[in-house]
Amino acid sequence: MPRHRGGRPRPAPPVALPDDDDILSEILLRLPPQPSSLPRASLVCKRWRRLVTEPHFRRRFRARHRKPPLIGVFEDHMGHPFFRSVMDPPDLIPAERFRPPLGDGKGLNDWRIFGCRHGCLVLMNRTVKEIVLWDPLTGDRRVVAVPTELDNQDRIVWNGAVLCAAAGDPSHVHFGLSSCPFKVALVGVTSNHTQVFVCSYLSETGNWSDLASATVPFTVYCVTDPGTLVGNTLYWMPVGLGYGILEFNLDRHSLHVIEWPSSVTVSGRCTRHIMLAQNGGLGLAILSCDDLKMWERKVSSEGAAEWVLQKTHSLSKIHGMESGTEGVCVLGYAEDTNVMLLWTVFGVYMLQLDSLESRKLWETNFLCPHHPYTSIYDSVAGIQG
Amino acid sequence: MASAGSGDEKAAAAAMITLISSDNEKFEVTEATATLSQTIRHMIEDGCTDGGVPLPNVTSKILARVIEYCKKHATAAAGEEGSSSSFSDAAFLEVDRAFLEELEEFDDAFLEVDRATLFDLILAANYLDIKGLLNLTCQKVADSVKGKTPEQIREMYNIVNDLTPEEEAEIRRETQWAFE
Repeated sequence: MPRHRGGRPRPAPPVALPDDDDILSEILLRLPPQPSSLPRASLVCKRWRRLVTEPHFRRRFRARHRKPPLIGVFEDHMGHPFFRSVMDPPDLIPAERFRPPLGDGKGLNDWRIFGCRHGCLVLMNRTVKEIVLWDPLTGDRRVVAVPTELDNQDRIVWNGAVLCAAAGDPSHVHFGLSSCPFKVALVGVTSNHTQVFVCSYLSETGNWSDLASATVPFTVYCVTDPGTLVGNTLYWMPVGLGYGILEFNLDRHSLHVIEWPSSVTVSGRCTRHIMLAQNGGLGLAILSCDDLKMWERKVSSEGAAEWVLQKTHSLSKIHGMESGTEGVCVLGYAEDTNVMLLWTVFGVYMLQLDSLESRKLWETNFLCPHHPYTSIYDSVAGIQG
Repeated sequence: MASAGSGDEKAAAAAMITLISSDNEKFEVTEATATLSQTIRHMIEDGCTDGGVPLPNVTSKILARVIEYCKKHATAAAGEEGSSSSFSDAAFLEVDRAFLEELEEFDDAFLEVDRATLFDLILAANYLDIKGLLNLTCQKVADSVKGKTPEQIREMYNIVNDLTPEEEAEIRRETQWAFE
């Protein structure tokens, strides 16, 4: 007998679902990838709970939803990183669920988030010279000491990026820090302000690579913004007395400085971001007051490259956006979903760059980097015993 | 209600297969229509379709609907193949889009059935191994559950809550936010 809890009984008895695990799994696999989907399904009955917690089901669910939704951001708030959901209830996951595991008080204010990708964050503590790889969903973490050759009197690590090393394989399904081979690339600048360098770490082997270096044709101070992954290449924008883009090819382990679009000037910090161009290649977003310009770097078959202006949008004409003459800042960018997080005096906005759909998230006067977190919430406990 | 063989179907040229429902009704369909079912495709490959294919798990009412689905999708697939050689790329894309839109409209209308029929279609699609139909029908059920609370889902599908209060409390404690 069905157990009715309150409510009037229905006149016609409801029809039961097919009594078959395979068919039920096929149905449950097609639930949307929103965070509340699997927790809710797991509370229907023992059978549903068993089905959605099976490792095979979780793998298929993730394979089916290859582009996980953007469920929130990690704000790099003065050394105290915290999570903030960008979704509405019942998909709004509270900050406590994803509290970074940094609470031992040791050099607490020195934590910086370097990046977040494929379900994993990388943070660095400058005082103790450690990086932490952290999977917010499972809580798995790995602490790795930064080799002294990378961070000493002669060179300083400024930033880094994390990615699943198998991301280039189209059949690979991301399954978090415990089962994917993660790679971290740290990027830094030499103390004489002439060179940049990258060194990468692979979680599978626990080994650090050789240093890849490149000379920068201008005085370079630091690398403040998170990197962008385009194909199997990471890009960063160095800060100094000139413009250029660092290109680190993960396959070839080679680092180059490539040119910036010659006609583009930048007004102030946080008004530019490296992004994916429409064709999946290297792109650049430049903001000035109300304008969003999107550039694409086109490489000919002979290898000659040029920057081409693809699109110009007026932010105030984008539905749901408000911008003023007081300025606009890029707070973060998610490659998976091609979403940019923008700040204006009216608030923080999420802008999808293909559809130009925008949504106001919240208001703030405090500007800090936002690291978008995309994830499939399948962390639901199975039945014990 | 055997296939009438409409003019554009070139029924004369196509090999015909007889499908027999659980209530012994016979349906004549083209091989192209029948082989959307992987189960029937394998039977044809093994040469076991002489004298008709008995489908003891499918009633005539459901089999008629399944055949309606397969005919439409087989025709669409054949139309796409035929058009590729005689149109320019742009025209081909146009035709392709028109086909897809028409198919989508057909699928939407096809799903306008009561739940009992929908579940019978799922069982038939599963048994006959028709991937497109299984996807379509399972997605319809998944969509009906979307955004519903566990209580609403149980009521909708007559599911008995056999979780112990402790198990229920544990899930609620871990993911309280998902029930708000």
